[in-house]
Amino acid sequence: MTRVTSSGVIDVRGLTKRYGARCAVEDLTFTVRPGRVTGLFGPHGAGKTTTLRLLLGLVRPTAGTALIGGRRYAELADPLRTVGAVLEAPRFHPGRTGRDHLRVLAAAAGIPERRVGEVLRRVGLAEDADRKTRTYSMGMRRRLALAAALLGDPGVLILDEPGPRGLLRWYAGLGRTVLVTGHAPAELARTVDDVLVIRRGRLVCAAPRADLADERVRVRTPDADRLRAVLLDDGVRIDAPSDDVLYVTGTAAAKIGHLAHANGIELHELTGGTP
Amino acid sequence: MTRALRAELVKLRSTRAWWVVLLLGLGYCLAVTGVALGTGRGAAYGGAERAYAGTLVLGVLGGAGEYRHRTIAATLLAVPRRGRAVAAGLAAYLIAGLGYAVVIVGATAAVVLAVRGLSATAPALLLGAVLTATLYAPIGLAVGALVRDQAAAVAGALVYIGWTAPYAGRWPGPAVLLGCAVVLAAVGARVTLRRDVT
Repeated sequence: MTRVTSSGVIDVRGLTKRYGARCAVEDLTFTVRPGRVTGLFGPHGAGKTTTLRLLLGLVRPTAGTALIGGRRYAELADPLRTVGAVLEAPRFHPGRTGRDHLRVLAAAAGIPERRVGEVLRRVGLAEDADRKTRTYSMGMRRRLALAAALLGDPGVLILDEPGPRGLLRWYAGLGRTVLVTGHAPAELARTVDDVLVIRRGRLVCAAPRADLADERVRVRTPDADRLRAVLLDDGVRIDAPSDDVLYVTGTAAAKIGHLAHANGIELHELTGGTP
Repeated sequence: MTRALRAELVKLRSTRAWWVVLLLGLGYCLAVTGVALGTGRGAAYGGAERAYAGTLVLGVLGGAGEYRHRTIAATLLAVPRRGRAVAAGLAAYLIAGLGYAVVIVGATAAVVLAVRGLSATAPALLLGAVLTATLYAPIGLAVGALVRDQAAAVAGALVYIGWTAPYAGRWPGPAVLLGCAVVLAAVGARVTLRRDVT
């Protein structure tokens, strides 16, 4: 399915939610772009779930806007075909089968029934689809929620819990938008491209993960001194265990390769860092 | 809107509540009819006039169930225009209520007709019973969505049924009931339209 890429941009401006005197989310501003996996991180109670619920129109903001492709969620012409969401601790009617849960959603979104079977197979739930959800394990509930999110083949995927890495990377690789929450960047270090960190409802960091990388990249070059000089201008940390090996912390392997190439520095090895 | 309505009808049919409540309602109304015919105490059509017991319980279960099982979030993600979601729910329960009413009133009336034959007042009385029972389904849905606690909502509905059943067919009349339905649906919709879903 082809899409105009701008339709997948999530744009949050001055988003604020107060419950009485308590501020769950305060003046959040950030942009989530298509073709990348963006992680929204923060400790428990930081406001991640509230932010996603504001984005999905389940909670009304006290101030500010949260737009997906330039529209509020409630204004989307075809919500399930535009955004797929997995909420924290997904709940279903215990007496309804997994397949029927998806059939209800498919009917609401005008999605053909055959797609229900497709997403059930995709998440590995085809054999258990006709059992009532009260018999499902937590893992199966997560997979059913994921199937519901994928049902409309949406351009934007929003997961309020870490999802399967392969799926997130594959989805972003299709040029779609992926927003996923987690407690700390390290738990999704190999999955996310962009990092947002919130604490007590406020945004404290928004950066490409490469800039925050805490893994070391190992570089072997006959021209270590020059490379070191080039990289240090970029604000990284460098350890040099021997004359021709550098361990670089704080930037992506791709960026090191680019800088080396741009400066005509020969590399014999470049490993670690971003996958 | 038609998609949202179709989704609500699929939802209704996909759990066993609809036929369990239908059987219970049918059993209750047939029992009332049987007692009236057997003992001569109570109106012959008392059973038909209590068909609303089934539709009220069905509606309350559905409305509060969305909150008890937190399926309201999935419902509103699929149909985020809340006015549309509420209207689809009310319409679906109006349709289900009519189905219930026709089955329960029809079954009890058939029993009375077989035993006593048709009386002059029966058609109007039965039509009123169908109308009343139909309206109680969306009323129940709105009340359930307002109360949210499913056990409390069902208990309240049963108390209400016990309290009004002796006057079934006399009060509340269809006009009063229609007024109640409109007001409750409006209040239920208003609250559902604004409520944060957490």
